[in-house]
Amino acid sequence: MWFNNISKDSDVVISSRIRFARSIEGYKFPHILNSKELNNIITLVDRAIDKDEYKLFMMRDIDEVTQNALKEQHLISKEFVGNDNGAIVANADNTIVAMINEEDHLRIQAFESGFNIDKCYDKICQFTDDINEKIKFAKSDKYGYLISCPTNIGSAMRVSVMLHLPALSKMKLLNKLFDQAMEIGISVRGLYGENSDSTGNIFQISNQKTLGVSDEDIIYNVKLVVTSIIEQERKAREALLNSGITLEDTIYRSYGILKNARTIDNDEAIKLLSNVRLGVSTNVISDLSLDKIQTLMINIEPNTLRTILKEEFDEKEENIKRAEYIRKELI
Amino acid sequence: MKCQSCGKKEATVKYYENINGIKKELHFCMDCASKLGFAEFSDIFSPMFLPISSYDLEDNIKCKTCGYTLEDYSRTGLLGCPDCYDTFGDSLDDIFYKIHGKNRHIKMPDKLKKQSRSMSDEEAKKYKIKELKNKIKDLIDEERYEEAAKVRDEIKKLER
Repeated sequence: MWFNNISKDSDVVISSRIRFARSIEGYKFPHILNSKELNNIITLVDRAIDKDEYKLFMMRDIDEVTQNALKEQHLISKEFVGNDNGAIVANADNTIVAMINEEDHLRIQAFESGFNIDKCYDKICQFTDDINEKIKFAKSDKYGYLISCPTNIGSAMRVSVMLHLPALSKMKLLNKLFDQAMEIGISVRGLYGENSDSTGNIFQISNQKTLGVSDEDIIYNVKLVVTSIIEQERKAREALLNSGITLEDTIYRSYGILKNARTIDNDEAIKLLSNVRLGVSTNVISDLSLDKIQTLMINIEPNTLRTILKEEFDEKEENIKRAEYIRKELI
Repeated sequence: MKCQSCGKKEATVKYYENINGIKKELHFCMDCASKLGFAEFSDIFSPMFLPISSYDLEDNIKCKTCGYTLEDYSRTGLLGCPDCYDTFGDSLDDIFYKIHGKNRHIKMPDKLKKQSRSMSDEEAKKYKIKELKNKIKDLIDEERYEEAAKVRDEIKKLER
């Protein structure tokens, strides 16, 4: 999984992701297909994948809690939850996850932990090329890949990097940086993609434009922006740590609450874990590993927590279970 | 309509000028628009979603394949099928220019990338084995058994 691995630049970069949108030639787009036609799409994809490496799951066979857990792990979109005519194709470690019959026939995604866009690109190309031998994608010389939403045509590729930016955020320097990124066509969003705020100081940087640009240029631009933000965040962390005891105090207080709380809601836990993550990646806290924090930040989400504990519980109980789980993990 | 700058190529880009309250609509080809700097301008300030101007809707063209109209598009933000891009090409060119700063894609390779450049040794090996296994299947289908045996030995060597 992308979140329980530590790699390059993990102090700031949480994960990298690339998404391709593809349409199958000869079919209308999913939103105007009937369920029989949608099923045909799934069958076509099922025949095209290498069964040794990839498995196909029908969405209607996955229970609601698990679907929502997949959303919390960023493996499927929130729009895809509850889509009974959809299916998921995934490899064993979920570094390739494709949604079938989301907004497009195929939304293929590659995930890696840390700053690893190249590896994502290699893997997604390999998967896509492989199924392209059996399935013909709709494309034109004029517009590139033809997909249902015209804002994504052309390369139909979105490169996203998830960043943890607590120091820049505390120093209120983010808006300036984001404005600059916007100017070269790079967008910045909060943790859960579009229309959400920045829970836990986690931000997603991704390319906006897809038409008339090559994959290489898109990747280059995203890398450029991310590299400079990483540098700025590291400088900001150093500056904050050198300017007195306040940051260290915040980090240890957060750690203390997480280790001792008896009930805690998701937002508070994410906020405190964000401080602890900052502590671990700046070596203020030394008895914890980054991958542990990373995994915790995902595992305490309401539905993921339920799938891990394999229990049903209401919201009030959920906060107690969450506190218990965190205490146990942080011993 | 021909480009108002070079007068040669087909105009695909619209530019609205407003100088001292006098509004003017200019039509350019992509090359001229980039040369004149309009491409960059629109690159920065283009909003992501744009309504389609009313004259386009009045045309009431229907996609032959899926029955979609531009009105459907402006309602859902989505097109109906790949052929819609042909049917509504003229209107879409305007929209694309506003969204992407461009309305033509670059030339694309047939295959994205067959062999990876930053694959680990282990992954490269796995990939190679998979390729060879496919090759065996083909050779057996063509009843070229001796060659298939050679490939099989090669796989064994790699798997060791």
